[in-house]
Amino acid sequence: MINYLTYLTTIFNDASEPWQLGFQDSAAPGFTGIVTLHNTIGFYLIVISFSVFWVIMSVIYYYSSSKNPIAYKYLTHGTVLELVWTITPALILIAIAFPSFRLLYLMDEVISPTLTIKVVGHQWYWSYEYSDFITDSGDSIDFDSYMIPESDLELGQFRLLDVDNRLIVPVDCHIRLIITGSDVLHSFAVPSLGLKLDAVPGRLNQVSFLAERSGTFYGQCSEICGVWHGFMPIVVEAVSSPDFIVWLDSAS
Amino acid sequence: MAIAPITGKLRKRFWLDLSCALGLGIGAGYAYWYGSHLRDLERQESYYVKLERERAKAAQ
Repeated sequence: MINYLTYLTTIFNDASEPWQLGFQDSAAPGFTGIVTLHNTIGFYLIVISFSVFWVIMSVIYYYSSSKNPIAYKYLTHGTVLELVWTITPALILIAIAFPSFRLLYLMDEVISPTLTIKVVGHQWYWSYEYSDFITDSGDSIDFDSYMIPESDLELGQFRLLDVDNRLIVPVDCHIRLIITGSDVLHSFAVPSLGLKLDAVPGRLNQVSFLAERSGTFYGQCSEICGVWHGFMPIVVEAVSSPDFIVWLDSAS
Repeated sequence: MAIAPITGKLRKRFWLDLSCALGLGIGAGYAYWYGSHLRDLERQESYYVKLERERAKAAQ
């Protein structure tokens, strides 16, 4: 019971949890915006739900057959009433649409990225390419990222979520991801960073994000891509800039 | 037997229903906004402030 109650409180993890109800903690301004929009719409939802349920209860109680044996059947239409119940929802939809569009266009902005990483979805793994840097031999830094099978998991690693090679990014830097697929549709999704973008073969999609804190953020392919769709997770590790340089040096 | 006319419904029920529905709804909405949403944001902000303090301390 105590365990169940803890599910109703805030989730303190950057990975999905069994029976999780809420969002993961945000690690990027984009995801904070998404959560705020969700909760803003939640506010309207609560107001509308209370109003509708109150009116339904009121009608059931005061206009039941025992209290009103004769139905008032002569009210067949009412122009004012119809105007009210058409215009009010329209105003509510507009109030929801404006913050939604604002966030949508803000998240589409790619603000002079510090780093560009190419992400390619394959059946059934991800590969990453740091096109801004080259190795000693002049090649770009690229590697594949496969899920760690259950038999090889070490203590503390997540089943179906951990990978052999993580995508390493520096914190507090604008990072641009260029995402594509090599065979079929995939979708690169990391909830804590507010990322979800389709990887479409023959097309380059781009998205920008900024990791506000160090951490390891887990995601999964979010577009059905074949039998092992559920076995190509994503792990993004945000590290400090000096640590990133050290990693880059070792990777090259 | 003559049926009693049904009158005065707007005066008797409508304003009360409307006030209760919107009053309860907006009250619950704000309770959710201040009790849940802003509390979570504040917790997140205080965590970032803590991180920033630690970073500044380490830089000294």
